[in-house]
Amino acid sequence: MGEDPAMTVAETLADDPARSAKVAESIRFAECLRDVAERGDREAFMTLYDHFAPRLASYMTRAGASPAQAEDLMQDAMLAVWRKAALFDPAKASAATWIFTIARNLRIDLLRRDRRPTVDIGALDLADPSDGAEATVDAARRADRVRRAVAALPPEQAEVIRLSYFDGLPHPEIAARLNIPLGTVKSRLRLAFKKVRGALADETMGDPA
Amino acid sequence: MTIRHHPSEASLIAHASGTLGEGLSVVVASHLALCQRCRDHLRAAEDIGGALVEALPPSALSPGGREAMLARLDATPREAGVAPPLPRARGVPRPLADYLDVDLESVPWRAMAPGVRRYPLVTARSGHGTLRLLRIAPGTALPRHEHQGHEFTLVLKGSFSDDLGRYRPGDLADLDSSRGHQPIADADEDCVCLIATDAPLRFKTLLPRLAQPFLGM
Ligand SMILES: [Zn+2]
Repeated sequence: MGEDPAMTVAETLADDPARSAKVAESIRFAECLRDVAERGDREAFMTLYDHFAPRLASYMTRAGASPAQAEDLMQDAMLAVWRKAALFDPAKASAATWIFTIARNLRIDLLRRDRRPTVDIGALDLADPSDGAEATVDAARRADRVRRAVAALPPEQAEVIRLSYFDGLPHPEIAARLNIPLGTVKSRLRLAFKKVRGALADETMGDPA
Repeated sequence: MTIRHHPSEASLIAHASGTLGEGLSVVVASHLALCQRCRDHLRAAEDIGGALVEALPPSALSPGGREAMLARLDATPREAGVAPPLPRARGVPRPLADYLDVDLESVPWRAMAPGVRRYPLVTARSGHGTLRLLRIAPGTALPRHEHQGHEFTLVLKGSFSDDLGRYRPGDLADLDSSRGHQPIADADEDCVCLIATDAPLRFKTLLPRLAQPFLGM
C-alpha cells in the first residue's frame, strides 16, 4: 500500500531470483488478462493458454475426468477466461486464483452435476481506489506468499489440502480415505489455513528481508 | 450487524475447493455476502487453490489443441464488465435471493410442527440433502438432534440459542457429526433461518412423535 510498484518489484528481485521470476510471471499473467479484456488480445490469451491449459487439464484429471473429458473441461474453462476477462479485478485476486475459481466452478457443474450459487461473492468488496498496476503487484506478491506457504506445509497437512482441492473429496470422505477421524481432517485443514493466513498477515506488516 | 458465529476454517476450505453440496454452499455464500471477515478468509482459501493449480505438473495436450482453442475464440464474443452485485436483494442475502422467488415477508409458509413452519427451496439434485427456510415461533424448542453430515444454519431474522451460544442475524451455526444440539427460538420474535443439511438428522428424543415432523430434515 502506497509503495511505488516498480520499487516493490525491484526489492523482490534483489531478494531472491527464483521468487522474483514467479512474481514477475504472475504480474505478466494479470496484464495478459487486462489485454484480453481491453482489446481481445489473442496473443495475450495464448500466453495464458500455454501456461494454464496443461495445468487445468491436470486439475480436471485429478477430479476423475478422463483425458478427453479433462481437455474438454480445460477448453471450456479457458474459453470462460476469454469471455469473462473484463470481470477480472487485480485488486481482488491474482490471475492464477481467478482462473482456479473459474475451473473449479466448471468442475462442480460438470463432474458433480451440482450447482452452486452463481453470485461472485468476491465482487461484493468494493475495490481499493488504488491504480491497477499497484493492485497487480500486490496480488502477485500475495500469490507468491501463499505459494511458498503451501509449498512449506507439513506432509500430513498438504495431503488433506490436496484431497480437498484436487480430488474434490468432502471431509468425511477424506477421513475415510486416510482412515483418520473427521476431527483430525478438520484440524489439519485449520492448521494449514492458519499457516497461509499467517504468511499473508506478515505481508501487511511489511516484507521481511 | 455484529456477526459472532462464522463457518469453520475447514468449511470455508471446503467451499473454496468446491466440495460442499449445493444447499450447504448457498448457506455459506449467503453468510459471505454479509461477512467481510469470511470474504477475506475465502480469498485466502481461493489463493491456496490458485497456488496448487500453478504447482500441478502440466498434462500433455492433444496435438491441434492450440488451433482448436483459437478457432473457438473466433466464435466467442467477450462479455462486458458488470457492476458488482449488491450484497442483498429483496431483503435477503443475494445468493439466497437467487433461490427464493418471493420476498421474505410473503413466503407461503407450510406448517411443520407446533410453532415451526417451513419453506423448502429447490436445488438441482434432490436427495442430496435439503435446503429450506424455517420460521420458528418465539420460545419454541426444536427436538434435540445429532448430525450425520453437516448442518449449516444462517439466521435471517430474530435469534435462537443452543448449547453453543446465541445466534443473531448473519450468524452461521456450523454443526457436524461431532456435535448435537437443541436450538430454541428466543422469546422476543419469530426466528427465520436458512438451513441446509447433507445427510438426515438423528433425533435424541424419547418421544418419537416430537421428532416425527422433522424426520425429512
Ligand atoms: Zn463470517
